[in-house]
Amino acid sequence: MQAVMLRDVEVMRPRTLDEALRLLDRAHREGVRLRPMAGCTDVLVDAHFGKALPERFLDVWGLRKELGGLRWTEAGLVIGATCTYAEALETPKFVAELPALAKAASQVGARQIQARGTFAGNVENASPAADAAPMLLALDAQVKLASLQGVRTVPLLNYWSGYRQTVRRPDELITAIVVPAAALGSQGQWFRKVGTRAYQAITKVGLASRLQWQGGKLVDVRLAAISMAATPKRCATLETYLKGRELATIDAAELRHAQAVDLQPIDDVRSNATYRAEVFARLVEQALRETHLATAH
Amino acid sequence: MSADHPALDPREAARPRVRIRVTVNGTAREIDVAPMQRLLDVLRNDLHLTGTKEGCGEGECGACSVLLAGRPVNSCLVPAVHADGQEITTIEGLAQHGAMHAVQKAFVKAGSAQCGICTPGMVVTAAWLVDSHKGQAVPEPEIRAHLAGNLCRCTGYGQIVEAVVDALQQQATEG
Ligand SMILES: Cc1cc2nc3c(=O)[nH]c(=O)nc-3n(C[C@H](O)[C@H](O)[C@H](O)COP(=O)(O)OP(=O)(O)OC[C@H]3O[C@@H](n4cnc5c(N)ncnc54)[C@H](O)[C@@H]3O)c2cc1C
Ligand code: FES
Ligand code: FES
Repeated sequence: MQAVMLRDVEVMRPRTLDEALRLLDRAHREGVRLRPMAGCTDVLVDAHFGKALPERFLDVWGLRKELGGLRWTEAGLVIGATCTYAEALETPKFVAELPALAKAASQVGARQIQARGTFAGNVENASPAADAAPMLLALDAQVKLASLQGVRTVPLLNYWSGYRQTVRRPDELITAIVVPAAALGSQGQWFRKVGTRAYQAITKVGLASRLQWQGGKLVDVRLAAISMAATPKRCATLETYLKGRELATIDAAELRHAQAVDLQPIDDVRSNATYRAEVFARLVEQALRETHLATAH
Repeated sequence: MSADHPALDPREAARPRVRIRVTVNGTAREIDVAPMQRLLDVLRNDLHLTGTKEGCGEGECGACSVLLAGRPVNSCLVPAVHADGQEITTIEGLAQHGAMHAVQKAFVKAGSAQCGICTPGMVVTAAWLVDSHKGQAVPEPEIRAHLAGNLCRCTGYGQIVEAVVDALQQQATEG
């Protein structure tokens, strides 16, 4: 079989979203793979490593007028499918209302990657080591999908169906990621990635979280683990253990016990299970301390 | 081989081509390219601008950095179609009317290059940093963060950061 080379690949360049959806629909009915491409920071790396290329790409980047930018609505913040990390970071309101997502965005690759990489691409790429996607998960974000059949909204909680898999149908396009209004400017947003260095480093282990305290008690807990499972993952057992507690009643051993129910990290080229588990537990402890301290003032 | 003698490769005629219009270092160009061809290859092979280097080909090293629509990008990760209608600045376009950019002068002065493979990309990113912070003080950690996508295996970065600090000061005193 002849491998498809980059110079053989065709790019469909629709001028409107409507045209894009028609092209996807036709390709889907004819059984042809038509893969969307935005900033191409994942797509062209796949090509570089010789992963099987589809014969055709659908260029979403060219739809920036329709799908670009940030829009504040009653429902929340609509992050357009082609909105890049750099664009978001240059928007003071974004940084002010979503400080932990801004921190995650500012640590994706380095400036060159941030100029091209999109939030939507990060979500659809479905890497367990993604940085922005798990923070969006901790913010209760939703994925807006469009096709000729109509539009639907899927909470990120149900979006990743397995390792590098999503529930998006091949005839659907992500049009936006929506961060609900309740999460904007909310208390206790916290993110930290641990990699080999500060930039250009894939996360070995990380925590994207939202911890809301009231009267010294944790009233709302969202913990999303990075590089600890096959997908970015919310930690149901840990969250249940923590909810309603005061900082002083959180026991390190019980915390690690609950964590072990939710997360069974693996050994791989970037790190090993023991390191990941211990560092993750300490990230949870650090997040608890720091968000608690922030509300004590 | 097939690039020089397209007729010899029967698949060449069937390959997809698109015409893109780009402004490279101030000059408008129209070129026929394969749509997914890397901007890096368009610059080096079609436009013969070989100052831009290929290190890793996967977005890690920054040797291929150019400015696209005013921002540094890894040209190895930009498909040709995304350059259509855009302005591109490569290392060849930084000097104006024969005068080196402040960053280039500062690199020479500080001795910021050894083997030189990272230098074009490093200078392009550094020039963007300096030009986008006119008259501002940029703390060293910020400088390092801006340059984090450009890896250098020789210098240890000391003389590079020194040159950027110098260029920022030059810009400030020149107003
Ligand atoms: C050197 C380097 C460093 C990196 N560092 C990090 C890092 O630190 N943290 C991190 O999280 N990621 C990192 N990445 C990965 C990557 O940059 C991000 O995942 C980025 O957000 C992808 O966005 P993109 O627009 O470039 O996606 P693309 O490459 O264009 O697409 C990614 C996937 O999403 C699909 N897609 C894109 N847009 C749509 C749409 N609208 N609808 C449906 N499907 C769509 C594509 O088909 C593809 O499967 C790095 C990559 C490189 C090369
Ligand atoms: S060659 Fe493009 S980043 Fe290394
Ligand atoms: S001078 Fe050799 S890699 Fe930087």
